[in-house]
Amino acid sequence: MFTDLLDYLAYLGRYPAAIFFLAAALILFFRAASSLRVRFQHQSTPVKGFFLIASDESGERVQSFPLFHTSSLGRALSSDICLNGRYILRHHAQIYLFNRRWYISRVSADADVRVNGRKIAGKHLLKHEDRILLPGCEFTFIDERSSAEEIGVDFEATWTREQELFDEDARGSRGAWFCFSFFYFLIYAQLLLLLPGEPASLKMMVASFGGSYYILLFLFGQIWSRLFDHFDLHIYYVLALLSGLGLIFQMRLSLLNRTKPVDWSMDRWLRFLQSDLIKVVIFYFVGLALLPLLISLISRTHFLEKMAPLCVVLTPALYLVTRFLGSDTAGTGARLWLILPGGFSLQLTEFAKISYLIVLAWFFMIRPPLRHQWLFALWAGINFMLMLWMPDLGSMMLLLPVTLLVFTVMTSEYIKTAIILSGGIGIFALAYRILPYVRSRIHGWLTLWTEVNAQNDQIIRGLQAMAQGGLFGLGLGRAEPRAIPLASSDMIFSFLCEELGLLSGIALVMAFVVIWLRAAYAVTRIRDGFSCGLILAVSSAFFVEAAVVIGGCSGLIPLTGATLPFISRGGSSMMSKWILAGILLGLGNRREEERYKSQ
Amino acid sequence: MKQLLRNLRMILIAFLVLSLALIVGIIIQQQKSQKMNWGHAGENKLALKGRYSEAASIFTRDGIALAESHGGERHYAEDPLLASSLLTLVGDYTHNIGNTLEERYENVLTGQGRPFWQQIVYDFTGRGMRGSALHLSLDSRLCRKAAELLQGHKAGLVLMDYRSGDLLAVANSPLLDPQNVILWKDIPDGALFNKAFLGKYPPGSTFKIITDAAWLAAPDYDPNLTVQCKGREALLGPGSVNEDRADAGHGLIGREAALAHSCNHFFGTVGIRVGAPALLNKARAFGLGKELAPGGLNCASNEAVLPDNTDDYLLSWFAIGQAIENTELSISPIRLAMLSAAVANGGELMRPRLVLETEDANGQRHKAEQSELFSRTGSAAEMAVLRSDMIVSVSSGFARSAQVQGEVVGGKTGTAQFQSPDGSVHSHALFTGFMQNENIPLAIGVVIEDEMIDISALAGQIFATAEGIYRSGR
Repeated sequence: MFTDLLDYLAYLGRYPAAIFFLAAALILFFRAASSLRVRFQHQSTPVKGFFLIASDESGERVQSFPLFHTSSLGRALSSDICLNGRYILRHHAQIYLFNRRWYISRVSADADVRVNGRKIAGKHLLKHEDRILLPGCEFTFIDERSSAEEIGVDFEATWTREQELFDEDARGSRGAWFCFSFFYFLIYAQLLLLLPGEPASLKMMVASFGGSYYILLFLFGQIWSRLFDHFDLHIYYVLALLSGLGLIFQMRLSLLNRTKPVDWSMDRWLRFLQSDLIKVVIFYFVGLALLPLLISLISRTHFLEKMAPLCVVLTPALYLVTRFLGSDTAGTGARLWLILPGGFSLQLTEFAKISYLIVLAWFFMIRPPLRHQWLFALWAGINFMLMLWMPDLGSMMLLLPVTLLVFTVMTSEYIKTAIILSGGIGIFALAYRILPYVRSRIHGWLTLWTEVNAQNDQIIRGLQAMAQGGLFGLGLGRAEPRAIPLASSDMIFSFLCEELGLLSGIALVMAFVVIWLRAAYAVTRIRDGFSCGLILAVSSAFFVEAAVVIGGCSGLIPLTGATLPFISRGGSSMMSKWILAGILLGLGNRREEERYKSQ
Repeated sequence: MKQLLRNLRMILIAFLVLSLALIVGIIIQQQKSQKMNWGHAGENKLALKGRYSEAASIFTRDGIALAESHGGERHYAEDPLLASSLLTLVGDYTHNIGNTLEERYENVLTGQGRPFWQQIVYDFTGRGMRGSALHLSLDSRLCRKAAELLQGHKAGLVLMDYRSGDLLAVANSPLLDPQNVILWKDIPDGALFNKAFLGKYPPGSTFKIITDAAWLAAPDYDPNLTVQCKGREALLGPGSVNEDRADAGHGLIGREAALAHSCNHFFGTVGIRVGAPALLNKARAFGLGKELAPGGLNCASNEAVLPDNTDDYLLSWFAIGQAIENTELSISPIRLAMLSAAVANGGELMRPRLVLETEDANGQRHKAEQSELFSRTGSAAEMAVLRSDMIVSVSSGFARSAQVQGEVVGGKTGTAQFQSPDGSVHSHALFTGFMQNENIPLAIGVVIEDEMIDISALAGQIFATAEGIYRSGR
């Protein structure tokens, strides 16, 4: 009777769990969207009291140009200040405001930019009445700060607005933390209620893992937001939401609905469960512990930039090693796992993705000349061919759109974007023609609603699970994971919808959108191209990977072997996601002033 | 900045559109898969096991659980004979057998598909995990007796209350334990087929009841009509209807004796006189070709069809229940029971019903199938004559073994010949009958495949068991 009551309480918990999960995601989404909108407005408004005055050949001041937080100068029509001149490049230079100071930098290494007659190579701090010389153009930088203050304009307010916006965001997102905490404790309590009383050691392990993970999340959030000025709490809360959900779900999959083999003793079975539980949990704790190290390393050093040339070689090398030494342990047709001594396996392609993204950002940190673009295209092409050879369509489906996106944002080369897009479609068409494995996947997807076959059986199981879950799900521990092939990894979204409902599935999509929105926010704030490119690449990678998994599980696109970040089981995938999270938070926390000092 | 912001805005819009599309897509796919039926191959057996582990029970009218869940498992009737015999009717949670109560009432039993607010109320009043139980019209004692009698045969049987249409017993054999179906092992040929509902057997002489009814309703009906039965000599020349059991024939024979002795010459002649349209109309009035689904379980349509160019030759065969050339004629145990039910009930054929009530999680009972008229087969006077003919058939005809001491029993036997793939001729034994008693209104239909046995004796034993149960108070 008592067991029934506990079961029932766990069952009822599905309502508040789904509501709190959705509430947390909604709060984060609306805060992120609102702060990005304000940020866009802020960046699109000229800064009061600062402008450039153009002079003609006689030195007469003929026209004034307002300055935005970042103003680009060049021949391109999209430039903030459009210039004509034989030696002016399409994207020549940029002037930007950071930490109350104005800087000028060249966009291209070929650009000729002089300040007070001296040619500049890197970034140059601008002062009132500095003379800026571009081929055929001359400007004077005007800083009306002192004179404006004399007439009562509060410049301090303008300077502090940026930090105020950031603080407001952090305060506004605290509600999300409360919702997350309720959600976390609800599913944590449900899991504890559902676990059998005997043996007590398992229950104790779950209680201590779940409890300590929450405490760590809380403490780290508090400490890092105080230690790092621009620590992005929104992204951190999303990470907490995803990893907290992932931890509870993976513990649930490790312990519930498991059947002891008849010939195993109870002791052996218990040891197996404990070891399986630790294998799952350890990556969450190690990942979380790695996060401060990564944030510090990335925000305060140029480690990633220095790693980039190495990554150019490392990326294809990782694919080649996997191709020749990998095994198909999951039986999916792709030989992606390296078997290590002690029964461990390692998926190097997960780390190859990180390496690829670093190279991508490195190539496009400044608008590269055509020659460099071709070089990158060649390098990326080799990597995609290696992915096809493996075959690892999941990586292709992730990296192709991310490449396209970073290229578009960082270069504004729309025609080339269309060409890359066509190239991507071409690669998939080629894969369809030459790889039977791809053909069968597509066939399975196309026949999803007309017949059940070996190719679509997995998606159908997933869809049936989602259908069973309804809006609020069946409740944690009440669905049968063995009914869906790969329920703990590739198909986890379907299983999650079955137990926690469609509302939770929607909340999950929104959580990944929040990561991207915050990344876009960081891009508008950060000045260096590498950081911007890598932030965009990493956040887009999170979103695209989630979309590939969610779309695949729900039959919207063909299913490929990808994992839902922070939720799916898989040590390599989990560690690579934590590294990406560290990169994202670390880059967002970079302080340009210190970077210039160090330069 | 302008450019970066513009690019970011562009990508932002693309991302938001993509996210919205993803969310809408998930919702649509979920809704679609809720309505989608992938059929047997697409059903997830493990998920079904979990779903049924808390499903509500299925009870007989005498309170015996035919299916119930406890300890996280679905269990079927404790009595193995009962569980095996009713397997194709009750079904199993894996849905390895289609057209069963477990399959058709999945949502009711598991409490799925309730309106959203109702589910919330149920959940917060502690009853959310419970489904609705089914209360059937079946009597476990009669079902068990039927199973006992059919054991060792390939057969199907239906016993019904002709006043209400309630199905009191359904049995099928060969018998098969539900666990064998769940584990999909050791399944005998034909054991997964609900012969009682889905059988399609040539009706043989049982069809003569319909021919008799059509003759009674014919405008030129002559109660004194007699026909010279010529025995083995064909009625209309070589290959036409003859009598294979009486070399000398029945001689000059009237309607009542013709039914009692199942005279082919008489009913062949009468069939020709009545004509194809009247015969077909009467067959339809007795339910042949009419859609029938007691408890939502489909029954074979058992159409009676004659081709447009029907001549006397075809018609005479059809009138004695043999479908030859392009004619279509078949019957199942349930429709056999309905033949007698209609006659016994004065021409009012009640719709057979199986699920009487559902009992929701609150313990409230709701009527499921209503007792209603299915068809009118003829006037009370005509049916009285027919009833009397059938009673004679039992009292002094071929169906003597169906007699029950102290009760008036009517019936008609039938034999349906068929050719097996190796060319040898085999026969199915059929019986339809009723027990004429105001308090024990029973009608039976039974088919035993590929055996020539005294099938009316089996019906008699069921009637006797039912009588005992009724007398001792239901």
